[in-house]
Amino acid sequence: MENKARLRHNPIIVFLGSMNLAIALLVMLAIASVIGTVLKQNEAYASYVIKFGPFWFEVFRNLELYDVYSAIWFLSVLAFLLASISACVWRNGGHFVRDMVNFQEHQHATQLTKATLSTQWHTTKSISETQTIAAQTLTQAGFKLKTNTKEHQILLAGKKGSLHRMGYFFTHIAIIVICLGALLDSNLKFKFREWAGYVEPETRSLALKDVNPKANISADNFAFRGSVNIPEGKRADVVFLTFKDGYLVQKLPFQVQVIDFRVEHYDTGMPKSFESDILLIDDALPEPIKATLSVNKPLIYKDYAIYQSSFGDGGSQLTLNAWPLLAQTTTPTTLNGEIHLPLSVNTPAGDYKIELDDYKTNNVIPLPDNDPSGRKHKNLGPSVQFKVRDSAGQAVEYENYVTAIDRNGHWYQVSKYRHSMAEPFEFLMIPLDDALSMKSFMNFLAKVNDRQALNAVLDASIAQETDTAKREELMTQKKFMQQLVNLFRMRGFEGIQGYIEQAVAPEKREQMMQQYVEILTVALQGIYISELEKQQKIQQEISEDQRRFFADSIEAISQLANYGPPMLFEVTRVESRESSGLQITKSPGKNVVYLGSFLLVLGVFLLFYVRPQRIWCMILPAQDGHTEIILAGKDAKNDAMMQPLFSTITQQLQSATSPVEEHHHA
Amino acid sequence: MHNYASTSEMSLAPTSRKGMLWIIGIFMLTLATWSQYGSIMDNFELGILVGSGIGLAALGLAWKSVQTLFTIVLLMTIAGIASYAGLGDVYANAEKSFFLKFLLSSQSAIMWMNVLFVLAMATYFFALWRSSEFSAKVATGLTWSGVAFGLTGLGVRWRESYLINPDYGHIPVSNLYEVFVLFAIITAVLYLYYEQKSRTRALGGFVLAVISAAVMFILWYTFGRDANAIQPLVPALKSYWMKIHVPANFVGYGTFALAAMIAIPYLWRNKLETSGKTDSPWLQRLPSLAVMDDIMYKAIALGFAFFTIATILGAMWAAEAWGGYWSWDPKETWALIVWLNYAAWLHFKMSKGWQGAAMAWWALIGLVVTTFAFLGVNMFLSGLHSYGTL
Repeated sequence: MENKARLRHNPIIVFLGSMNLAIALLVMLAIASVIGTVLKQNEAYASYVIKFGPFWFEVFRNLELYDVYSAIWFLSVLAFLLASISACVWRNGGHFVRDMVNFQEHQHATQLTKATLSTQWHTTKSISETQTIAAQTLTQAGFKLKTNTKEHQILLAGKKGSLHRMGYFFTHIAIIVICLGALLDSNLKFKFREWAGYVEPETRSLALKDVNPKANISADNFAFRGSVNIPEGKRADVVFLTFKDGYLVQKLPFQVQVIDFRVEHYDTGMPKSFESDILLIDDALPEPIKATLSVNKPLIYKDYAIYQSSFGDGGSQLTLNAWPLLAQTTTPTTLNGEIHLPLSVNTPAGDYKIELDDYKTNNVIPLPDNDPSGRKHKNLGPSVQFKVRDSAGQAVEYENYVTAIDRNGHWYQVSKYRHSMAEPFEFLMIPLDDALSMKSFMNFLAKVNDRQALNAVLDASIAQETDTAKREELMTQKKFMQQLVNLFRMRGFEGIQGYIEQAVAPEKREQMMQQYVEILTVALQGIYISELEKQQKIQQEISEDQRRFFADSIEAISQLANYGPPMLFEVTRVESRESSGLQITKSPGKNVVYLGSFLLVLGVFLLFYVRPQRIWCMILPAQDGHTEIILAGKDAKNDAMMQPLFSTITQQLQSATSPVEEHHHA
Repeated sequence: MHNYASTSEMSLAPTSRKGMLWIIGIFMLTLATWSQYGSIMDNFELGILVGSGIGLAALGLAWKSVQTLFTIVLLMTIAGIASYAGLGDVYANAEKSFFLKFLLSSQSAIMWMNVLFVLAMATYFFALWRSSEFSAKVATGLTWSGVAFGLTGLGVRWRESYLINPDYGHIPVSNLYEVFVLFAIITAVLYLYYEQKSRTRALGGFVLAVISAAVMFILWYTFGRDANAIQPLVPALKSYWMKIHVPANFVGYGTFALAAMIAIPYLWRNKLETSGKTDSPWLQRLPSLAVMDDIMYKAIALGFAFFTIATILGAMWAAEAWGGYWSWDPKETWALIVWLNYAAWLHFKMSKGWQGAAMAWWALIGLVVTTFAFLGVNMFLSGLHSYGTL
């Protein structure tokens, strides 16, 4: 006993258990937490290097700021906090327990009369009568009583709200319990095993069989939280745990097969729900478990919980038509690809890698309020996102819509493109012919690309001209027209604009541009009309639709200059295959944390809403044969809080004992 | 001065005839709600319904004003819903009904709430300046009316979400616009409670100031961003947990904001007293330091209790939706920081008995932390909680 007492006063325990230390630790915890929210956690190390530069990257890495919440120093703060709370409970525990069970029934009359809440009076009732009345009154007021009889004097010592003290124990022990529960589920064990050299994260994106064997975690691991993407029809028996700048591969004692994945959308295009039909295959089971997972509705199997967490493309099969944009032919090359698998294309213009990133089944865009359709949203249909990377590593990002899109009643093939992630997408809109095909546009484009075709058209128009003067003029213009068309084809309207800006004085530029565009239009129109004539699609005059088609084509060709590699991909066939993102956890600490949480709430309410109060009623013989009563009260925090109750009890007791004389103290 | 122990005794005391009527009324209403909507509720939601019934009954017994407030809100909400029903339950028809267009549609009711709260703030300050008991009573009335309109607005909005598209239907606590309305209402109700208990109307302007700031945000959000439109729920929010997690959190935010605002007149009075300006008329008008200190403590204690529960409920929801009870998501982490902050405040208060200017300053700074957790996280940090991005 004495040893224990000495231990409680041990300077280390006193220091650990001091509130100042606890508060300092709380503050440190809070600051560390702030860092973790400001600095995005667990990103690829490469992106940190870009953000902070090599020097600061290294500093922050050594401080473990990229994964603050499992940094050694953060865990040390937590450990210190736990030690501090434990020491605090240890130091105060005995004192609090004694205070809880103790009725303080050895008070002297002088002590009672000195209390802030104190009063005394005389009564003609006998001591035992008074005792009965007082005991009854105080019990009714909610006090537990203990009677201490000493010679002729009786002291009724009462207390209530002792559970307040339990609130202290519950809240503080709760924090310890919660932290221990969380520790069970944390990846501290991996850190330890990494330090001991048994575990090493894999940082490369590899096939499972090629993963560093040290990144494999066996199925008997008692706690983890990982995720895995499973394409429809496929199964998996591992999940991936993010760890440092890489991942670990956690083996599961069962297999999960995704049979079907479904996603429903609101009319705004936002996903409304997504769910997976899965099959859980475990040799220990007589037959596999069939279940449907959805967000907020996990499957619990043994100690494992399987959640629907995300979805994506699981390798949709695509057939693409690659239309050449600089050639004089109009035959597209057919390619077969799969989302997530890169595709190589060799063209006369160079070798390219096509990275098929994603297939989106829906593209809902908002419509203006007064849209004639009366609808608020429009679905542009599916699209494929991909990048085309040249041999130098430069990439252009695209999103091509699979189906034709109508604008003001006319149909287009739409491709979005941009040269860097920071830019917004630009829209390339290829006009479609009556058969909803790009064939007509491509034919026209091929002729624009073909210098001989232009030459022939120009020659033909010169030959038609009968006026010699005009003929001369056309002859001289021919070369210029060819150059202009060539400039336009290579660099678009912007190219012409740029040329004028270099060659012409500012005040003449606008006029010059107008002239150039007119001449260009004449040339291109010539090509277009000759093409129409060849196909015998022209009646006396070109139609309104043909005019528009021409204008749209010119617009599109102008944009091609900036479109990137000289090919346009048309998606002709898609076999969609989605993948379901599952999260699988084993969390033995969860119920421990919940137990701690329950204790915490209970404790908080006991601390705030139960007031520990004491009352003493001393009954002793007075000199004149009467009985003297001394009543005193005490609130653990603030006596003023007890005043109303104390007054009520005093009144009740006084009227029940009909006092003959009254002394008010305080 | 009042004490909580006796409050709880009060609710356990035999109830009056009026109290019985209240209990029966709430019971009938719960039953009616169940018979009307029971078919689309799961067991958890049924539990929440019964729990809300019991909670409301108890709250009404402990604080009589709730009975009146609730009855008025109920009647107004039913009037709003019935007006829609009379127009064929078509959301766009709100334009055709005078009452809906100008009073009871959620947008109008919330706009009334906005106006009433700002008016109440001005009136409270006027009353404080002129020491006008009458004006102060008017301000209290305005605040109660604002609360009634706000609650009606949310109630009708709940119905409207189903009218727009049955797919969209959800309790209106799902995005930043809706929770700001909730914040304004809860803070006002909490204030009215302490106003009654501590028998002073002098603090109203200060508390209504933070509510008016929320109102300004709502107005900017409505007119600047069109963010008042009812949007469908993302799959992660489709859970009964939202019905309890979000309101519990806002009791916390509301009380912390309230405590911070009380700290302002506290510090003011403290400055007057310490600088020896004993003849300042403001000393007559403002309540004593002890009263303000008491309200601050009680508000923070209540808020801390609710914030603890809300965070735990959030962890339980996260365990079900995200697969882990704690992910160090920015919102979670900031909730922890807020919790740690007030835990420390309460330690100093309860164990060391600190009071005075330091604690008031701390309560005031606490509002900065709380505001960041509430709003800043959505503005500056991204994470799992990105439902209410600005």
